[in-house]
Amino acid sequence: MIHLFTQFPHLAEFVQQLINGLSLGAIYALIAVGYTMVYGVLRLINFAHGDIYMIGAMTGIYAMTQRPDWSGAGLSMVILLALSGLVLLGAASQRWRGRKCEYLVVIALLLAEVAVLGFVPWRHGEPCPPSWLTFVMVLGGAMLASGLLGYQIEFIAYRPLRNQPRINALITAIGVSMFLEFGGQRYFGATPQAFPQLIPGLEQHPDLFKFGPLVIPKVDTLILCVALLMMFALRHIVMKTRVGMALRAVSHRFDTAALMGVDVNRIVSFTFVLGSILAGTGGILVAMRSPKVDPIMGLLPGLKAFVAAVLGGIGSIPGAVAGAFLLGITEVMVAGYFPHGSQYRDGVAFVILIGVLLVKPSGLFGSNASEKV
Amino acid sequence: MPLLEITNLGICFGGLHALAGFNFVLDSGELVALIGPNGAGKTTAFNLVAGIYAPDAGRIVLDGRSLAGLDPAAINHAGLARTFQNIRLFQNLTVLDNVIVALNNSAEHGLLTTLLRGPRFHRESRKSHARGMELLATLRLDQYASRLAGGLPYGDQRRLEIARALATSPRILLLDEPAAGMNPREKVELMELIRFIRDRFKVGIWLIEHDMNLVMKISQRITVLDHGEMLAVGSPDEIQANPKVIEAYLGAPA
Amino acid sequence: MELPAPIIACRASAGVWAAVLRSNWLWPLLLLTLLPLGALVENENCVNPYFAHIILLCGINITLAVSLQLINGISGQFSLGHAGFMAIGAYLGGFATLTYSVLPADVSGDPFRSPGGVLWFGLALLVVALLAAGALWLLFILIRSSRRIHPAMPPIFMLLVILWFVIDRAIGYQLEHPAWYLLWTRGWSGLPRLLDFVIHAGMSPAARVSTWLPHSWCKPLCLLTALLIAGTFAGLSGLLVGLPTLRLRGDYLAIATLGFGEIIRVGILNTEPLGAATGLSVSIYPNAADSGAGLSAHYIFPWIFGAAVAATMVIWRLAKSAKGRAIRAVRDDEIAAAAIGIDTTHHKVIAFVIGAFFAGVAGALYAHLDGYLNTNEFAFTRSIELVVIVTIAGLGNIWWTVAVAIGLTWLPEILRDPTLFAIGKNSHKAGLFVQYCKQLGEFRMVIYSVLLIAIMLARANWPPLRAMCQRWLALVRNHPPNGAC
Repeated sequence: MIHLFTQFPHLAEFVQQLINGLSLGAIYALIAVGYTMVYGVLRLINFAHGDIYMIGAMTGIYAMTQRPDWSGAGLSMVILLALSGLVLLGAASQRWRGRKCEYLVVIALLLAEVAVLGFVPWRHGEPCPPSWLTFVMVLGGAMLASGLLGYQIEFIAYRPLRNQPRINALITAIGVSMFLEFGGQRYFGATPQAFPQLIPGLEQHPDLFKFGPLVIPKVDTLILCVALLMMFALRHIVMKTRVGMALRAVSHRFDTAALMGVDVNRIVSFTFVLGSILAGTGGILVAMRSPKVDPIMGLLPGLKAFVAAVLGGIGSIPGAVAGAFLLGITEVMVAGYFPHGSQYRDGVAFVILIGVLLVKPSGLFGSNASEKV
Repeated sequence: MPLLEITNLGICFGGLHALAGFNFVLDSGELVALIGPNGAGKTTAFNLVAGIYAPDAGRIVLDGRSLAGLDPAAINHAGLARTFQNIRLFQNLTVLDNVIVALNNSAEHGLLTTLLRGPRFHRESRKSHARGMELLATLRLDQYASRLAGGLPYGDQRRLEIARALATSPRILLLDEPAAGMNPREKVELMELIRFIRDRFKVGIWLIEHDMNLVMKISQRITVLDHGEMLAVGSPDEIQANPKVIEAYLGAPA
Repeated sequence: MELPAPIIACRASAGVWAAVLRSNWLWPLLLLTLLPLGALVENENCVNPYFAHIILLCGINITLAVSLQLINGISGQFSLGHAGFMAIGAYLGGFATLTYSVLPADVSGDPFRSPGGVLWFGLALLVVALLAAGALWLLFILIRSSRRIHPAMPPIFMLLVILWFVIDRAIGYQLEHPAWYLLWTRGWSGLPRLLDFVIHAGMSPAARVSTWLPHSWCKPLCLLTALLIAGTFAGLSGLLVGLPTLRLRGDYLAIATLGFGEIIRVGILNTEPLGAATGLSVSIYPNAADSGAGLSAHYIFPWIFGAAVAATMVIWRLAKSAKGRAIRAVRDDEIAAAAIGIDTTHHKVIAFVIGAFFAGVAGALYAHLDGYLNTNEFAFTRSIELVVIVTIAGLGNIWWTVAVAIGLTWLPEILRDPTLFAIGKNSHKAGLFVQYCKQLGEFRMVIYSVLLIAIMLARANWPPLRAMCQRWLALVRNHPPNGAC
């Protein structure tokens, strides 16, 4: 093998680019799946999805490097946390009486978030030592944070607009995205922050395999493995569980699923949470690969993942995955092989978008739903 | 020479012959019905004639002109208008606007006339306004002239759709299930309306309908379709007595 | 008693002329009332230059918002790429003024001397663009006609063409003497050279013609020509965007227009003559005394508000006419519109073209206002800001669009530094208020986005208010057709 790659360095370069493309595509896939699921269920393009990916990465940084200064945590925080506890109790009691209480839960969550984010002074502390345990815990924390955020966004911003023309929900999605980006810039600071090492020994031995000029980095393999694992888990959930079946039903026909006894609100929330968890994971993974993290990192990857979802057929999960890998590989190939390719890198996604929309708007795996005349 | 002549019309949707070997003639002033069980291909035939689908086989000739390959707007300019099974009104336009927008679409409106509101613009808009009101009055919809089309009662919405189709000065009018969702009194009014339209506007009317009562009373000729094929053609009495038609609707005797 | 026919005809035509008068009084009046505002803005003692700048931005935003209202609201095609049209107008208009309004023989390099030069640049660019379009069209026809050989041929053919292009670009750079199969790159790289050639060929006669014009006409003519060129090319790009996206509906159309906007931006970013990433500086006065500035507020005010009034007038008249009715009919139900003989293609495309035209004009005015262009100004964010204006105003409401455009131009500025507008009070409380406002100013974009979400939620969930508004609007809309405007 080593001989093969030493003799044909161009082949080695090609395979290297392919591996880069696969890893980039894996990250796009994690985000694109969220887009496509939400579109399938609500016919809404969730512009804020890229920012949930950013929040995932930010959570990772906070988990790794920021420590709460409990001595500085003020009375306001205590009061707010107590309030949120009370509200949660109230929600539990309502539930016990069989009444709707979701909004109470959301209010409690919001109060707790304001308390923790607003009134606890976070200080830059000692970064945790890298280890596999740290990795799993940080990943878990990012998933939790992004899942909660996705749930809240759906409840506050999208659910009231369920019966409105879709353009209104689209504008609100844009508003949420702006809020997360600008709010993130104010809260986290607009300068990019460095993401600390999560995996032990990554700096010293970054390569997994080395075949002559061909180098397979550990990071890329890890990203690919985690992404594929999550894809399989998602597939299992969507195809083999009752919730997944309900999800598929809702994405086919919203009203009919409701008539058949599916709790549509619960399923939509579940979809958002699922998609957001995947996006948060993507945030952590990408932060491991290119360690600069800033509040507007979600804009461009979000758009590109969206293009990937459209390429694969928006509404179709395997399509989103396929489209994402295709897009990742194409982008890396263009950047690598075209003259001045790195400048056109961002334009590749949009050219593909226009191409798909002109040639086959329903994408690779999508179906053409035509109007009955 | 009949006004509308269709020979051997057929279309295939992914292996399924939605319509095959369909022949039809219609003359000016005739009132013909197309009936058949659900899924027989009646609306498909309408859509083929109106240009929404392109036929896989057959010819459609209107007044000597072949309608093959034309898009719906061009077919409308040639003199054929249609209504839809699910009412397709312009919801955000007023009733009067719905009719005015259908007037005079074969003539090109100049952009410059629109922008410089000279005398010609005002003359034309007054004329359109007057013609629109006249048409609405003929169909007894003038009291709704400034209401939004979506706010009309159901029966009046159907009449508005017919008025809009008539505003294009057609020679052939295709009505797709005009009596759907109407109560018996409204159906009687509709019957008289259709006869009135045929006499007043001198159009040939081709009707798809499920209400046999209505169909038998007003049509001069009936074509029966089943599973995309023509079962029978004839006068109402002939069709009522035709055993194949009875079998298609009620099933074969046990 | 029956009146004789000629008198009836006279009466009728008198009615028509009265109607003509009635519908043409508003716009000149509007222009006249804006003149005092212009005088106010010009007077530096009266109005802070910062405020004057915001007022001018209002005018540009009005033009942009109203043109977007035509595309999104009246014609119902959800476009997220309006900033792309603005960018084309800005860069072409700015570039034309910067480079070609200078007389070749003029040593001082003063701009606004050669309207002929600007016009010639526009014509040359048009010719070359048409040539390129023609070549692409031929290729497209070729690909489509290959369908006759086999139904699967067109995509294969297209793939081959793309592959040829890719290989051509990849190896063309490395070869010293490019062979015949590099016709593609040669052809496409030949276009800029053809453009240069045509421009240089005609520049001296054009400049000579310009010297014959009276001196005071030169500047306005230059600006007018630059604006028209900007608008025309933006309109052409509107055609380019509108035609292929005819089949697309709703969300897909939104994504496609978003893609076009970004492609235009990335394209401009990578074009050397247009300043590339560092931005094009349309420094109208290359001398050090006025460096970096565009045209003065004094000069550009009538142009900006003239354009705003023109855009509003054109789009209002279009909306209230038979053509506007047809466009709205296509928006409501395309299939039914086709069934009554409306040419849906024509009406959909014309909305894009006219909307893009005014966006281009607004862009060119923006270039001349600021004097400095950077592609970040024309990113997705700007398209979103315009869509927000149009949506808050309500799809189809032109006057509300004007109002909301003015409001949303001022809002970020008010939020940026609320102390500017606070009436000065010397007290401790005022000091706290000032501090609070300054802190608020830093959060302005966050507040803006929260406001946006709040407005959208409020609109959705306030049925009584909505019903009231709708009833009022319906009353207002149902004026007889020969009312004012």
